[in-house]
Amino acid sequence: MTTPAREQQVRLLVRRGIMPSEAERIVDKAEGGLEPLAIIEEQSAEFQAQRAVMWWQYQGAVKHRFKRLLGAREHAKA
Amino acid sequence: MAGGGRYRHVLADGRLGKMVSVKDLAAQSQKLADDLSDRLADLAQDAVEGTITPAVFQQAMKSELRNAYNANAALGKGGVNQMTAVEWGRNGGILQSEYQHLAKFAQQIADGEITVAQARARAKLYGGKAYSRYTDEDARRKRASGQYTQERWGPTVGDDAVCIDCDALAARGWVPIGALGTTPGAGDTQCLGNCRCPPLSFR
Repeated sequence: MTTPAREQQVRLLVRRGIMPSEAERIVDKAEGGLEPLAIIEEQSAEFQAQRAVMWWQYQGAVKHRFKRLLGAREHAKA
Repeated sequence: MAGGGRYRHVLADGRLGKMVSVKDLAAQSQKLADDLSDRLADLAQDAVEGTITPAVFQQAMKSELRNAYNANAALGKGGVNQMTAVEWGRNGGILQSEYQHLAKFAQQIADGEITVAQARARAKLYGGKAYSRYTDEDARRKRASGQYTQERWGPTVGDDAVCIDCDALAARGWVPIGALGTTPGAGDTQCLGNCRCPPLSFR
């Protein structure tokens, strides 16, 4: 099978409803070939790790705020 | 409606008009998903027929899915401005999993293992999942509001596309909130989200 020309692929994507600038970006990004599953899995693991870090940061912020509130209450009592 | 998620019609002179009904919102989200399904099926056909490369197909699908998931989630949440890191992150997590399925799909097209009909049918399933981002965010918002105690699936559209699982969920009627454990389009049912059931009802 011959590889279709770049312009031809961009035109087809635009005909399918994709914005011209986005179609160009897609075709350029695809020049490196198929993204292997291993790379996507690696990106996915990295993403999940980032989410976990954000979750713990959020928990830490909540705990800190809670402590401050408790401290303020104790201070008010005293 | 609890916790936002409502919209108003904008009149021709720029003033705000009537509220948009929940039925209209769901219909709009379904239409978005249906249009997306058709576009994705066409892209899959193009890839099998060789008018685009499998790599272009993979990147185009990723782009379309990202846009559709984000748009549907924002619609369910009550607008882009209501979206927080939690919703964006949830979308990202689901998309990462979809990208893994997509990589296998594109590889099978590249290896010539899939026919046009099979590719079209498989690509269309991604549209149903996009619709679930609306129903899921809508349900999460209502469950979290604390204003409701029961939820209900359906009624189903009642055509041949409705699977036995959706019929069974609809037959359960009103159940305690959270008991259904899934939302229409999520892919947990036999139809893999292609049933086009309406969003969950709450009371």
